[in-house]
Amino acid sequence: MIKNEKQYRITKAQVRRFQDAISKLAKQDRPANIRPRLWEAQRQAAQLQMEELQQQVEEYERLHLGRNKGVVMETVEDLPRALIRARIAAGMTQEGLARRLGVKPQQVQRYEATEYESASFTRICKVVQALGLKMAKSVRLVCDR
Amino acid sequence: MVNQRRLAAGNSLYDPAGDPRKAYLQPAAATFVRRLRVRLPASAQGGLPLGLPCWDIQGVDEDALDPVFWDMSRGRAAQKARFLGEFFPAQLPEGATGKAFMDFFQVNKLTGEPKGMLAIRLRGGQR
Repeated sequence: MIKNEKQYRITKAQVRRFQDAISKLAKQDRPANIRPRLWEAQRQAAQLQMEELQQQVEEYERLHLGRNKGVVMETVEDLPRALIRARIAAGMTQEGLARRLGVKPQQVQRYEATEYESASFTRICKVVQALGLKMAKSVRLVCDR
Repeated sequence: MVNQRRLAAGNSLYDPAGDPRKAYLQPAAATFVRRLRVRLPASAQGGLPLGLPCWDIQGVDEDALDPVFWDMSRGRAAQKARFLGEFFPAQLPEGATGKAFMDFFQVNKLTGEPKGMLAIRLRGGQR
């Protein structure tokens, strides 16, 4: 998942790199020391990697351009990514969020890089407040055992 | 990323059946490096995160390759389930896909800074 402009630029460049590689590969003959199925496997691997990066770019663009109205959470485990998506959709940078939280930008970068793994519940609540998020409707938690 | 404990427990990627001649990994955990019996310069040793991004398809016997490496479905879920990591076949280091993957894995996605990789030339395991 792309979390800031720098990652966005890096990822876009990588998409182009893989696109170029796939185009070049299509024009090349298979060397004798590479078996046919492996020759195809490398093309497939590069293609899949390019598509995954492209999807990341498109998701960031969708969020950043504000086409997403709110973010959807299916499970509690989705919360960290939802917070990151919500920040991007709000047009807020990591630095901006850091300012609102009163922490260094690197701290927010670490939180997001680790998907809030080390953040306390209190901190997560402050992030929610800083982003101005609210639940669209109440959610009933049920025991599924 | 690869789970080091699984590798250390014997779930080696470098089963002779696979026998890729060369694999590229990001700065390696000492456990895994010891397992491969690779001698690293002192500056490269330490408990840095381990990643095994890609392996060289040149000279590999495709009939002997573990089926898990053919399965790229669902974001290479089978590889991730077995190794907690994924591995890309490429023509390394100078093929078109090899160059793309090498560039891809040598950039720190968070900072844009270059980051290191190690190439391991595998010996033995010939069938």
